[in-house]
Amino acid sequence: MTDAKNERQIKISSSDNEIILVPRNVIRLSTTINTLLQDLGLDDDEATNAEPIPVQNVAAPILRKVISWCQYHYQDPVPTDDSDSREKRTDDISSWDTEFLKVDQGTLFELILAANYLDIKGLLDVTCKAVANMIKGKSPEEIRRTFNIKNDFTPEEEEQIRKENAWCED
Amino acid sequence: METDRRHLATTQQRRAKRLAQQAHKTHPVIQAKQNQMYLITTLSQMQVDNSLINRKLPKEVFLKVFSFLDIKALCRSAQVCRHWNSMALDGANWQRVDLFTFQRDVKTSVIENLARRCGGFLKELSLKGCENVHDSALRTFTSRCSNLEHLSLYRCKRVTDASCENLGRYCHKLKYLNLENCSAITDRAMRYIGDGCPNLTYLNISWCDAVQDRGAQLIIQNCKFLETLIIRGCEGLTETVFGPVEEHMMSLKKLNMLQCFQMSDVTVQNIANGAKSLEYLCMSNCNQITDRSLIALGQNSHELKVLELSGCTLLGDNGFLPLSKGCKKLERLDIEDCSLVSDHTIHALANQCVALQELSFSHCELITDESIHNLATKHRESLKVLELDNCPQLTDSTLSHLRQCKSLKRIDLYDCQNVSKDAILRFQTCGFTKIQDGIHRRGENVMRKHLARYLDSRNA
Repeated sequence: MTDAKNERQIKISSSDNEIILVPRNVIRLSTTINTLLQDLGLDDDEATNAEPIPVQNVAAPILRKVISWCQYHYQDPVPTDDSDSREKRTDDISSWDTEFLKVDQGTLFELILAANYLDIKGLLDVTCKAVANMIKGKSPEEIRRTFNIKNDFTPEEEEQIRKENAWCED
Repeated sequence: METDRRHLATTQQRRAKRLAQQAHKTHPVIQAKQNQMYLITTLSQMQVDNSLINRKLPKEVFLKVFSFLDIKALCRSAQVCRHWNSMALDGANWQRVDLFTFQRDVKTSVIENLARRCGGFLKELSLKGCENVHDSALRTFTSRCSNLEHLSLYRCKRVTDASCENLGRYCHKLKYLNLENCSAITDRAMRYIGDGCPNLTYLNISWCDAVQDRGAQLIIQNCKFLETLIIRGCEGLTETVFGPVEEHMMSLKKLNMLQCFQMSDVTVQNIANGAKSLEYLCMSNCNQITDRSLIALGQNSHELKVLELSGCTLLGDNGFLPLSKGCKKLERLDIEDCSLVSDHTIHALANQCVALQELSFSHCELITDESIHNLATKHRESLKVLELDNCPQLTDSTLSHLRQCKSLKRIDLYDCQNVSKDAILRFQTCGFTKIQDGIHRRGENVMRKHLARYLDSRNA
């Protein structure tokens, strides 16, 4: 694999108009940008792209964080579609990622949205797993408290829904 | 006249009775609607929501998060708020269900509710290890979830032909069916599945002793797309099981007949004649087969990539020479305990089969350094695993030849008394290969191998 430092740099601009340089090989993890570069024929060009690629939905602080994730993971083996059909494991988050995801809920959701928009499968998976881990093993009330969600059921509805879902409890 | 009137009265009575009975059975469409009503209590959309998660995450992302939740967490999420309720009950979450965590204690009520909730969304269901699951539970699933494509009933010992009858009746899209260790099923089950599930590509009926030739033949005849057939330890089958269905075996790619002791050269000849696209064949411990089987495979089975013949002790050079000539695509070969095999076989394999990656020659006591040298030279790029344990004639020279094999991941050298510790140390310092060495009692070694094979079969 080519060294990231000698690699061609790609200019991207955040929603708040900050321009960030990313090695081509690193930004490859974003399917959105990768296909864009290929489709526009920018890969044939040896030089750095003159016009930055606008990433309208992501602000600079989040974009930088996303890129730092890609920097660390760009040499990972490509996830196959096969792993999609595997069991729903959420206990397989690496220690680096665990550190990376020690952020407040707002940042975590922004990361998810960015990963979704930029189509970075690995980052979307790991961030969604992190949220799933915040849900698992909790009662409905504990989940509400974790995410500050208001219980908007009427008492009758709540009782009915509790009954409908009681079967999976022991 | 009198009799006529009485006759009329009784027919009317009968008709009324029948109508009364039918009244209990609701029309299927209405039934489905009622279920849905029960399921998703119709709720009006919420107005304001202050929680960050609900404001930020769009539905598709929510569903992605929920895709990592188990059934229990999903049911609890459904109780959080209206928004979460509609998300948690989205069909996307109910396409794949694995009840392995419930194990033995999966209750009928759980099955009932789950089947109702999944309905037509369910594509993949695993009841692996749910030993207490009865036919009644399966009836619920099959009748409500007719889009099922993938079903594992591994070790559901109480499942009988009745479940297979329902599978055949309702689940016409079934592609994958694992009935391993469902020892109660018989040929009747095979008939129902053959009739009702024409799209089947994978069937595992290992250790189902009550299945006989007729049953296996019905499956092969009727399931035209069948690619994988696993019949390990099916003692009800005879050596002529494939005879009448040779011409229906064209689509078969994988066949596993581990420990079908009754199989013979006749069986292998039938397989070779019929299954022209066969890529994987396991006949380990089918200890009746002789060199004639290998000749038949060499003549016909040119697509063969994996061949497992561990414990087939009658096999020797006279079979493996023609086999290597015909099966040039061979990647993996296991001939553990084929102790008649000599250097001739290893030379033939090394010279003719260019794709070899994994080889097990354990307990092939006649082979020497010379043939391994040839193998190492010809396959220095491709060879990955080499099991040479209990080959007493091998010496340090084997190891120094193997040093040129760059892709080697593992070499087994248990009980090779002529290989010195020093040679192993020297080998290990210059590469990444894992060497399993030392003196092991035979029992342990066999255990280890069987465990490895068991794990392999589970992953397959």
